[in-house]
Amino acid sequence: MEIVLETRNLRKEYGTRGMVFAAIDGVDVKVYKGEFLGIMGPSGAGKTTLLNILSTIDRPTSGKVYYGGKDISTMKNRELSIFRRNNIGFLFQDFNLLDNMSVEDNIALPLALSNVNIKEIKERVERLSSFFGLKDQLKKYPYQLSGGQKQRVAAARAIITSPTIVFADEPTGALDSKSSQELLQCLVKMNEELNTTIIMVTHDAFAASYCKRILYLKDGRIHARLDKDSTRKEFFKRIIDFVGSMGGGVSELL
Amino acid sequence: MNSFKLTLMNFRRNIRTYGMYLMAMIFSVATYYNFVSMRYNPQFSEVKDVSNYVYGSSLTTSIVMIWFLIFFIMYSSDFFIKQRKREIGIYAFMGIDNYKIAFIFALEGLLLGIMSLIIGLLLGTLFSKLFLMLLAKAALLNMRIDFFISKEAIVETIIVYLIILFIAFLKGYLSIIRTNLIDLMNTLKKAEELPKVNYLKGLASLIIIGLAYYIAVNYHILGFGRAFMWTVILVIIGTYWLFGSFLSMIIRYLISRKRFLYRGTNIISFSNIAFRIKDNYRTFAAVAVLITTCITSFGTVSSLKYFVAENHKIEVPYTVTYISDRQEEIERVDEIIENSNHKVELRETANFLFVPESEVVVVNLSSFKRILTDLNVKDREKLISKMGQLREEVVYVERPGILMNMLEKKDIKVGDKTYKIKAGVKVPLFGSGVPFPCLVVSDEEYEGLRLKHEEKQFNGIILDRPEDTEDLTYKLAQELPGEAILYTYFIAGATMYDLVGIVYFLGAFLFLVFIFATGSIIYFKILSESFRDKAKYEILKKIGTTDFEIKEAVSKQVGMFFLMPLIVGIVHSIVAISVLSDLLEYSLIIPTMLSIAVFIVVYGLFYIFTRRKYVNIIENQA
Repeated sequence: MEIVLETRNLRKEYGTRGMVFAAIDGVDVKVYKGEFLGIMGPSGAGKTTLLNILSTIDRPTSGKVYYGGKDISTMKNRELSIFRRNNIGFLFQDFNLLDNMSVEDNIALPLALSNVNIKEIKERVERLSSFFGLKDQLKKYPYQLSGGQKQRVAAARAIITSPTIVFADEPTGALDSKSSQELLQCLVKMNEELNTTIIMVTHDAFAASYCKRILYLKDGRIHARLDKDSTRKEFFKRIIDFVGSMGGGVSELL
Repeated sequence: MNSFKLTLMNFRRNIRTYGMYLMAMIFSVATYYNFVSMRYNPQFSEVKDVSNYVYGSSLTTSIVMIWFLIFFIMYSSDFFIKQRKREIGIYAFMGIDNYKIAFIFALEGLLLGIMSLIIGLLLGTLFSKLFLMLLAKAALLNMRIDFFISKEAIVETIIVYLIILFIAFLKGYLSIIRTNLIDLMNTLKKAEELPKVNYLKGLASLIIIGLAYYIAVNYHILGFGRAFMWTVILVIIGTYWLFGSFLSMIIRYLISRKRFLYRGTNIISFSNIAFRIKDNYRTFAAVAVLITTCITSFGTVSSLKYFVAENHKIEVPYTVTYISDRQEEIERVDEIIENSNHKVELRETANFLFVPESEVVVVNLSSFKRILTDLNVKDREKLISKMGQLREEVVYVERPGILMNMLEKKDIKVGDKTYKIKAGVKVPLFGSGVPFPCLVVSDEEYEGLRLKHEEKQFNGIILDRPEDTEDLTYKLAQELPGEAILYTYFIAGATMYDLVGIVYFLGAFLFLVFIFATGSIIYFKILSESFRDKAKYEILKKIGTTDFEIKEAVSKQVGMFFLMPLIVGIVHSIVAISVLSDLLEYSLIIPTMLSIAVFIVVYGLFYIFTRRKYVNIIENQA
C-alpha cells in the first residue's frame, strides 16, 4: 500500500541545555493511504505536539517528516504554508471557523486563497455541502449554527482542497454525545467514500473506536498499537481494557 | 509594592507602545503653545493693524486645538484600555480591587500626559521663534523677531492641558471601575454578528447628499447664508447615513459577488470589513467630515492667496491714483514724482461722474475702452465686442476689492433714470482709489447725465519699482487735500495683503494640525479593532495562509478603512470648492489639487504606520 506520511526518529525537545525535556522522544510512524489512524494517550504524552509536527505547524528538533517520500524540513515558511493549504486539512476542537464569513465562504476559503477558478469552487462547495448535510446552512454565519454543524463545516473546509491527509485534534472535544457520534460517522464516511486519510488525536475511547488503527503514546514514545479487526463495539471494549491496563483511570477516557 | 511604583513600572515597560500617542500629544502641546504665545508676543502687539487679527486667529486656532485634543484623547484612551484588558483582568484575578487597578492605569495615562506636556512645552518654546518668523514672513511684516518665552502662554497651556488630562484621568478611572471581571475575559471572545442593513437609510443618504449638493450649487435660490447652513446640515446627516447604511449595502453586495470575493485575499478583508463597518461608521463619517473641512478650508485659504494676487491687478492697477482736475495739484504731483527716482510708465486721466445716491460712478464707453487698452487687460477685445453698442443699457463693473460676485440686480437707477444692466464684469479700471462700482454708459448717454451729476477727473500713474513708494506716499499726502483720495501701491500693501498672509499661514498650519488630528483618530480607531482580529489571523495561519497573504489582507482591510472616508471627503470638498470658485468667479483648480495632494501624502503616511502596527499586533503571539 502507498505510504503518504512517514517519520523517522522524530524528536521534539523543550527547555534550555541542562533542563531538556523531550515531548517527543524518537517516534517512527508510517501512515498509509486511506487510513483512519487514532493517536491516544494520557495528558502530557505528546499527542498534540506530534500532531503539530506531522501537520507541519511545528518543526521537530531532530528527525524527518516525509510526505509521499518528500522531506518537508527543507521547505521555507512560505512554501510550507502553501504546502499546508494544498495537502493538509485540519479539524480543531474549537472549530476555528471564521466568525465573519458565511458557511459557504468558510468552506471556500482555502480554494479562494489559491485563486481557484470560481466555477470549480462553487461546484466543490455544492458537492461537499450536500455530502455533510449543510445545504440549508450555506448562507448562515457560524454564530447561527450548533456545535455539530460548525464541526461539519470545518470538516468540509478541511477536505475541499482534496488534501493528502486530514488532521483532527480532539474534534469531538466541544460536542455533546449525539453531535459527537454524528461527526464521527461523517469522518468514517469521508474515510470510506472519499478515501480520505485521517489522523485523529483523542483521549476519548469512544471516539477512538471509530478509527481503524490506534497508536498509544506515552511519555513521547509509541507505547502500543491496536488494530481494529472486529466490530466497533468490540474494538471499543478492547481500547477500554487496554487503557485500563496502562494504569490510567477508565473514567478519564469515557 | 504600592500602586505608584506599579504605575511607574508599567509606564517604563509600555513606553514604546505609546510612541504614536506621545508624538501626537507633544506636537499638539507645542502647537498650542505657539498659537497662544502669538497673542502675547510684544513685537506682534506693537504692530497696530495686525495685533487685532493676531489676537483673533490665536484664539480661534487654540480653540480648534482643544476640540481636537478632546477627540483624540477619547479615542486613544479607548485603544489603550482595550489593548490591556487582559492585564487588567490578571490584576483583578490576583485580588486587587477595581479602585486600585483603575487608579494604577489612569495614573499611567496622567503621567504620560504630563510627560508630553513638559516635552511639548520645551519644544514649543524652542521653535516659537521659528514659528513667528515664518508667520511674519508670510504676513510680509518687515520686523525682527526675538527669542521670546511667554509666561502667560506657558501657564495657559499648562492649565488647559491639566484640565483635559484630569478629565481623561477621571474617564479612564471610571471606565475601569465599571468593568466586571467576566467582561474583561470575554471581550475578545464575544462573537460578532453580521450587522443589519437599513436599505431605506442607505438610499436616503444618497438623496440627502444629492440634495445638499444641489442646494450648494444653486445657492442663489435660498440665498447664500441659508444655503450654506442647509448644505452643512444635510451633508453631515447624509455622510453619517452613507457610512452607516449605504456602504454596508455596497460591501454586502461585494460579498455576495463570489466572482469578486473568491479572488485571493479579498475573502478575508471584505468579510472583515462587512462586520466592522457598522461599528466604525461614526468614526468614518467624522473623519470624512474632518477631511472635507480640512481640504475645503485649506483650499479656501490658499485660493484666497491666489485670488488676492489676481485681485491685486484689479485693486491696484496703478502705482499712484488721485482725483483732481486742478492744474496746480496735478503739476505738483508730477513734480514730486519727477524728484523721486521713479520712472513713469503710464499716465492715465479719465473723467467720471459720481452718483452718491446710487453709490456708483459712471464712465463713458470710449474712456472705458481706452483704459482697458492702456492697462493691457487680458481678453479685452472679446469683452468689448460682447458689450456692443450700449443704448438704454449699462455694463456694471464690480467694485474693486469685492471678493464674491453677489450681483442680483437686473437694473439700476441713476438719478431719475433707470438702466438695464447688460452684463456684470470684473476688470481693472480705477482701482481701489475709487471704491465704487462703475457703470459704463454710451457716450451720448454720458453727455446727458453729465448735466445732472458732478464730474470728476481721475488721474492714475504707473511707476517702476512700485514696492518702493513709502516716502513718495508721505510726500504726496502732504501736498494733496483729503478729497483727492490719494491711493498708492504702498497704501494698498499696508492695509490688506499682510493680513491675507497671516490668514494663509495660520490656515496652512491648521491644515497640518487637522491632518494629524484626522490621521491619529483613524489610527487609534483601527488599531483598537486589531485585537479582535488576532485570533482570526491565527486560524488563517494554521490552515495555510502565508505571511505575505496575511499582510495583503491587512493592507486591503486597513486600506479600505482609510480610503472610504477619503473618497467621500474629497468628493464633498470638490463640490464645496467648485461653489466657492463660482462665487469668486475664479478657477480654484490649482489650490484645490494642491491641498488634496498634500492631504493624500500625509494621510498615506498614516496608512503605512497603521498597517505596520496592525500587522505587528496580529502577528505578536503574546
